[in-house]
Amino acid sequence: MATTTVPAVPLTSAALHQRRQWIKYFTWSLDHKVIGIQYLVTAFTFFLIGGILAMLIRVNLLTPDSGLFIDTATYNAVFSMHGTIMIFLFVIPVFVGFGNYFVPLMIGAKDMAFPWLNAFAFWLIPPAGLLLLAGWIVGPPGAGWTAYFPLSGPVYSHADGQTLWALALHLLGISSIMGAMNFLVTVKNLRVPSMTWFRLPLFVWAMMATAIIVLLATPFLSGALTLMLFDRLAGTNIFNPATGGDPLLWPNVFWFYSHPAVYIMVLPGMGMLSEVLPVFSRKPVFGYRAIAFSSMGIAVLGFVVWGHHMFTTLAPWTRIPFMVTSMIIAVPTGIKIFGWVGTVWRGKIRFTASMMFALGFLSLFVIGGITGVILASVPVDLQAHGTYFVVAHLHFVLFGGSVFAIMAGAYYWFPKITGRFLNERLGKVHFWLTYVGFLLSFLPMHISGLYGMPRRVAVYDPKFQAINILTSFGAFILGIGQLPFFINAAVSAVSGEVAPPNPWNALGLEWTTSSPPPEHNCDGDPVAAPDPYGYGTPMAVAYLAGERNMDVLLASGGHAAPHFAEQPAGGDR
Amino acid sequence: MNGRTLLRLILVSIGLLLAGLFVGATNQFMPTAASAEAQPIDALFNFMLVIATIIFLIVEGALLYSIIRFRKKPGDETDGPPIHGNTALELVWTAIPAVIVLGLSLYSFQVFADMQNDKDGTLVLHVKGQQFVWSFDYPHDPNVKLLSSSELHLPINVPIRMEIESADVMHGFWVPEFRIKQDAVPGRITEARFTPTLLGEYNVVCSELCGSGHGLMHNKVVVQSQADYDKFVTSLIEPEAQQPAPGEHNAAWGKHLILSNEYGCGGCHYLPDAGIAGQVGPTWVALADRAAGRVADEDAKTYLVNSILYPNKYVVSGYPANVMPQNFGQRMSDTDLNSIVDYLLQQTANPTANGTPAAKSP
Repeated sequence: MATTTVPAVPLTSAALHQRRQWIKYFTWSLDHKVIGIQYLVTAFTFFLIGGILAMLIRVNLLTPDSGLFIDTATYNAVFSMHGTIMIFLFVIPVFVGFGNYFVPLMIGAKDMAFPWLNAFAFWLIPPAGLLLLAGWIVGPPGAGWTAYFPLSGPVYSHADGQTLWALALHLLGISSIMGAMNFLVTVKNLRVPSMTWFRLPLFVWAMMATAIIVLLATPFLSGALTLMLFDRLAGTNIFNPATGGDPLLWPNVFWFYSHPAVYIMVLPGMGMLSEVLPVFSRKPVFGYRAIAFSSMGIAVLGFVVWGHHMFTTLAPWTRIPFMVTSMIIAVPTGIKIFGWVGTVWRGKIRFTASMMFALGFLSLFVIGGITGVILASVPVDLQAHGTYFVVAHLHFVLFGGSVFAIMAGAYYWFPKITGRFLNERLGKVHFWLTYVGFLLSFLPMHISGLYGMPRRVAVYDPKFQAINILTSFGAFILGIGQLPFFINAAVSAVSGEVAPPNPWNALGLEWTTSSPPPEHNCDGDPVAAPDPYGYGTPMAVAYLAGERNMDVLLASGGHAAPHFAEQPAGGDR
Repeated sequence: MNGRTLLRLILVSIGLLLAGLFVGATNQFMPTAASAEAQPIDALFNFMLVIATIIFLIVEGALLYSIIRFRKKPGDETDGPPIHGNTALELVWTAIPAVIVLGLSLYSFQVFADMQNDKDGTLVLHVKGQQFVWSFDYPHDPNVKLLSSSELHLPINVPIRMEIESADVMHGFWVPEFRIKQDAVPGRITEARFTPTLLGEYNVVCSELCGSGHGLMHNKVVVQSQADYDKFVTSLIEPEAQQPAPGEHNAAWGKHLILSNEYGCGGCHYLPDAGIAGQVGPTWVALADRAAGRVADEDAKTYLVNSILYPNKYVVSGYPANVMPQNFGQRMSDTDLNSIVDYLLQQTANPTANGTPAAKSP
């Protein structure tokens, strides 16, 4: 009898350990990896909620009358919630989640600089999300995610949901600001000695650029929301023209935050792309410094383009400077896109699910970028503003861009986070449903918009019905297409194929430790590769074989590689 | 670069240029052009499409070529060539887009500046946006009184300046065929300038979210000959004999308020006697017959007052809730409210009761 009880003891304690593992994700943890997973799971949960709302929108728009929602105010609430949730509770926090998990690992740090602040920043998000959703109980907000006054003021939005909306965004803004401060201090101070500025992975550069934007822009959102709460709760008239207030103050301050916020939502994704493309092309990223500096250029320029959201609102001549800056910001974006195409060019491409999403991003973001330039032109924007053309553009940038990058990152880093692979076959099904559904859904919107269909309408001219049925059909494919991902993640986290520490043969520091990493991330100070993207060089071969002596690595040659075989050696690095 | 590569490069460039020109020249992405401004805007748009097509084909082409040509060969586990960048190439793909966007800025500026010029013989019209209807006032002889109209009538080939105001929230004045869009901002008068050049009927739609009825907010635009326009404006003159004075419980004043679109009732409701033909809300024909008894304990008058002040209290079956503005309690004086209700109480199916013929029920 004794022989049977002895092996049972370690089994029980292991099971108990498993159980504790599971519970810790619901507790106040200071481990950046736990917090990262908390961010990711929370954000993907809101992705699901926002996605269901999108499906409701598309069901309603199958018919030109008010269809699903007899009450058009409910429709307004659905799209307002959809936009707010996707932006503030999915895309922004999901990148903070990836950043939380991977920035310390990528720079060889044991944790974020301020672990307590890190946990606090996360724990503001679930209550903010609940506060926003509680709007359904007291009368949901219906003024769009942009919440223009006077529509969002006490007279025209008397339900308390709009107040809860402002409070929820306030909490999320505070969370963002604390997270950004943490990222900047972490990257500045906690890099291992071998991780010099120009060995920094481009994802870390992108997170830094993002953190700078958050730190400078988000306080403006907080200020605007405070004024909104004063008008709604304290009887002030800051935005009320009848008593000397100005409704245009709101869009100006709101977009002064929210245009930079567009880059908060896409720069980290661009950083992920710069990680994924070189690994699966087996080639260095093309123009490392150009891509790093273009992130910073976008961060700076992003602050002087907000007026293009008001080309039909601002006094005519004030539109011109914003047109010029909005046009110019296409240049650093172009540098990135061309750099990524240059990365793939002449590579030896591995078509993993991660790589397919990364290539999908590239092919779709180009379209979003081009329509962005078209929208930047004041005369053309007079036709396109406030229509489905804008809805198409923003989804090409935020779904075709950000979400595709998020998925590329998810398939790429899942083995590191869980120690198990996501199923590749299911991943490819996920990719194709998403890609085809996306194009069917959002390409036709360009046409319906230019032909006269405004955005945010529950009822529309029957001449647009055919194009809306096509759009809805695409959206349903897109929506159903996300289910394989959620099933895959749930099943693979428990029983997926076990992943080695460095399954993709990548050079980043996060791959030098076990999968998943131990609580202290790694033993001692890890040594960064002299070139984070030096695929194809003898250095990479040596580094991947386990060589960690910096002198040997530098001597093995990874820097002075020729740009093109037919050209002499030399270049910008 | 050898001759063969050069030739291939030239051929590809010519192909790209032709593809761009083809898309720019043949696309049907914009609706009918019905204003003088639409032509230069469409030309600018088409020019941008030429460039957009070329850039699109270059990037997607390079991507597609890479995906096909540079996929890993089976069994090949080696890395690709360690190409870190190419300064000259990077400078080129920074400089060319920079030149393109600056050029597009200049071109766009030129088109926009031309639209801002004052033109001789400009006709100044006044637009008011309110939840969820537009109303239009026309310049006229100050000695006559002109009613507001819920249709925008414009004489062809006459430069127009619309002065736009809002009675409540922000709205967007947009006529897609004119390529003109301008927000109506409460507390400000904004302007839109254009010259209609094509006879026909169009729609002015609202392009800025203005509440639950946003999608319902559209009014007819008619571009017509100067003679027809003059005839239309004349039809808006309210004969002096019929001009009522504001007064408590004055049904004639109530009718005048509806006729003159003061509160936008005609955007949704139907009552030929008061010159309104909205289709969104419940009809007002013979309204007095239905008003009593609709809500328990409410006589016809109470029901009508409540329906104006608290539109969601009782919503007629088959019609959307929340579409009717809920702020008439703040906006409408007691005089106006009582007068409108008194006028509505006269709307019965029995023609002898109020002198109006039984109108068709929509």
